[in-house]
Amino acid sequence: MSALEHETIALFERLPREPALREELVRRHRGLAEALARRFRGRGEIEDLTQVAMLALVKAVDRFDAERGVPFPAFASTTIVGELKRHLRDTVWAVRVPRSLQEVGLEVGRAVEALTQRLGRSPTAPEVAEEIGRTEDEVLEGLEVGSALQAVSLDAPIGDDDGPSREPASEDESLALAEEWVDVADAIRALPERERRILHLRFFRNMSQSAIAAELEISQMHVSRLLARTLDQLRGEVDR
Amino acid sequence: MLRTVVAGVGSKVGGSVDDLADLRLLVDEAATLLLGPRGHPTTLAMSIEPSDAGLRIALTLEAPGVAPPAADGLSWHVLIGLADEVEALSSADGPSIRILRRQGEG
Repeated sequence: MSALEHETIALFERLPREPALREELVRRHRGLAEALARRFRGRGEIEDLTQVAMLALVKAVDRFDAERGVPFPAFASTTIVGELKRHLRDTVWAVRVPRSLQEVGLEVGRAVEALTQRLGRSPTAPEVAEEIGRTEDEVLEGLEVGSALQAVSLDAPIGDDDGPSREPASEDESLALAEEWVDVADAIRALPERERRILHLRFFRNMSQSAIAAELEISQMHVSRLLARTLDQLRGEVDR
Repeated sequence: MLRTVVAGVGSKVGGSVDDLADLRLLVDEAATLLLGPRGHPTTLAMSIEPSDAGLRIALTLEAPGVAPPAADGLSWHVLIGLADEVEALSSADGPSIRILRRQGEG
């Protein structure tokens, strides 16, 4: 055991009688908390993460029981990492698509449909913005929300586009896919008919999302959503 | 975050809703390919450069010495399907994927 560890243990032994030592213990392990917080940067603001880590450190000091034989840094690390993970999980929940944004998503989706029909091509974001009287940034945000995987509730209000595709993918199409993407062939075969067809049309017939949407009589956003979800699913299969 | 940035730039250079949807998928896929099952947090740098040829996108994982991703597998198929040119290479900073996506295609 190092001299430093002995000192730490000695401090913990005196802690019940000298509550002021709590600060000293926190100060000594501040570096540990900061280092752990930095390991999660990129997933949150470093200031927030550091604060969460410091609070967790205080909690660890209060809960530490030297008699269990676990060195304090190991005990503190577990507590701090646990708190950081919980913090990140809760923050992610907090940024789930708010109602107003869902509405923008729906509005943008409808405008994209209408403009695609009228122009005979996929519209640009500024064209959509002009159509619905919103800014380009709002449209981009709406598009993002519209194709976000988690925004499942968006599927419902559009309503008319969740039916089965008009005709099932032919054997040929499935075979072509299976041959080219041989490493994911099994996963592709296991996909629902419509998802398989979308993959085929996009990657083997090189059709645009709007064109696929027209062919399957669903919205472009829905194609976007299904495509993203399908690729995600295939990825999961491959990684397994 | 990467998706939002690439869609923003794509729109500024006149990309259609279809283009933007493809760009988002492209960046998603390239990032997934680079990050892999890496357990610890790493930095992923992205640069987007509009040019006459189209949008040039480079994603680089800041992990010197790590090999570039293999040019096969699902993610690779997706990249080739959506981009006009794709290249995986080793840079001084770490593994990198360079993508060229021409305007107004497929």
